[in-house]
Amino acid sequence: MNSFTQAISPRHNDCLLLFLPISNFQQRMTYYSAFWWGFDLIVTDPNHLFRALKELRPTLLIAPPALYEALESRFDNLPPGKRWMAEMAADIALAIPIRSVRERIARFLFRSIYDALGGRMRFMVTGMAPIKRSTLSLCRRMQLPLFETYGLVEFGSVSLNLPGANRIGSVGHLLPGVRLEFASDGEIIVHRKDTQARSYFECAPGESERTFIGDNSVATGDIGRIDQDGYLYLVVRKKEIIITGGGEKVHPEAIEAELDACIEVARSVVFSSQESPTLIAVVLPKNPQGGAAVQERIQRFVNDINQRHRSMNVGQVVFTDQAFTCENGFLRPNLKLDRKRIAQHFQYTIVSNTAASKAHKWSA
Amino acid sequence: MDTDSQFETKVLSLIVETVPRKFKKTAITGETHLQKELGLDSIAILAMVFRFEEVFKIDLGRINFQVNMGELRTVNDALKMSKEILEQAGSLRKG
Repeated sequence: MNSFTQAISPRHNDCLLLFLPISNFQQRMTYYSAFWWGFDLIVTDPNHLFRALKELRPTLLIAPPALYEALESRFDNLPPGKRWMAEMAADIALAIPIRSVRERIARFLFRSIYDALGGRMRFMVTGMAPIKRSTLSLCRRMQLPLFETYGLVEFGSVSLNLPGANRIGSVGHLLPGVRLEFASDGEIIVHRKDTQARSYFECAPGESERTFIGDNSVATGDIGRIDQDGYLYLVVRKKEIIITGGGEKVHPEAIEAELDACIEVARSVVFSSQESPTLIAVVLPKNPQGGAAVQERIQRFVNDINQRHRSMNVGQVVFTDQAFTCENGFLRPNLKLDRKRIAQHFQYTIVSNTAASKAHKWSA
Repeated sequence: MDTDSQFETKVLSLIVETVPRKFKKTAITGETHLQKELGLDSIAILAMVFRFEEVFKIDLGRINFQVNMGELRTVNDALKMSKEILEQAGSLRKG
C-alpha cells in the first residue's frame, strides 16, 4: 500500500474516486490509503459514476480500461472536422516545451472530456485488463495523466507507470520493495518482504503451492519481459498458452488480435481441443444477423491468417451471437475472459452439432 | 416537451455519441442490440445515461429512478426507458 501510494505522491488536497467493489484489492488498498494519508475519498455506486466525476471533481482515479475507452468513444464521435482540428492542434502543441502551456491548450481543445472528468484530474490509473493502445495515445495527446499499472490480489501492486517514467504498452517500473525474476518459461516471479496473501482459501489441491512458491515469492501466471530501461511488459497469461499438436506454444491473444482486426468481427476467442487437431476460434460478428454472407467473408479472412501462420492453424470457426459478458459467465467479475468456460461451452456446441450432423447423415 | 420524433432523434444521437469506433458503421434500428451490435459495455451505457441526464437536465438520483441494466438491451429499450425517466421527472415536477 505504501509503495503504490508514495509513487503517486499524495497531496493534502487530493480527492480519490472509487466505484468498484472493494473486494478488488487495488480498490481496497487505495481506500485504506486515503485514510492513512489523509486525503479525501469519494465512494460511489457505478450508476452515479459519471455525475460524481463531473460534479465532485476528483484528482485521483482508479478505473478499468472500459471507462477511459468510453471517453475515447465520445471524442471519436465528434464531428470529423472538429475532431481532426483538435488532433492536429494537439499534435502541434505536443512540441511546446512548457508543460503548463501544453496543458492549457489541451484543456481548451478537449474541453468536453476535461469537463466530464471534473477538470481537476492529476493522476488516473488503469489495470485489471489490457487497455487499447489508441486510448493511451489519445490520453497522451489530450495531456491527460493516464498510467498503466500491474498487480495481483495474491501479491499486491507490482509496477506502475509514472509521470516522467511512462512508456505506452508497458506496465511501468517496479514499485519500491518489489524484486522480480523470470522463470525458465518467462513467467514473472515477484518477491516482496511482506506479501499480501499466504495461500488460497479452499482451492484445488496443489494450486496454492504452485502460486505461493515460498520465500515470499509469488508465481504470477503471467509471461512477461523487461526492457533495458526497466519497464515491465506483460505478454500473455501462462495458463492461456496453447500447445499445438506440433508442440508449438501459441499465445491465443496474438491470434485473437489478428482476427479482431477484421472489420466484421466484434470479438474472437481462440482455444484448442483434444477433439480437434487445429485451433478453434469462437467469433462474434459485428452483425450477427448478417447470415452466411458475413460468415463467408470472415472465414476468408481467417483463411488468409492461416496462410501467414502455418503452425497455428485455425481450422474451425464457430460463429456466435452471444457477447462475452459477466452475465453469461464468459467474463470473470474482473472483466477478463473466462477462457476455460468459453471453451467448455462452445466445445459442447461443436460436439452437439457434430453428433446431429452424423445422426442426420445416418438417417439419410 | 419535444415531439416524439424530435425526442427519439435526441436520444439516438446520444447513443451514437457512445458507440466505439469499431462499431460506427453499424446501421441502427430499434432492434439493434446495444451490447452485441453496438459494442456498448456497462460503463459505456452508464456514460450514455449520464449524457441523457445532462441533455435533459435530470438527476436520476433526485427523481429516484434506478436504471436496470438488464432491461437495456436494444435501442428500443433505451428509447422506452428514456420516456419513462422523462415521465417520472415530469410528474414529480408537477407534484
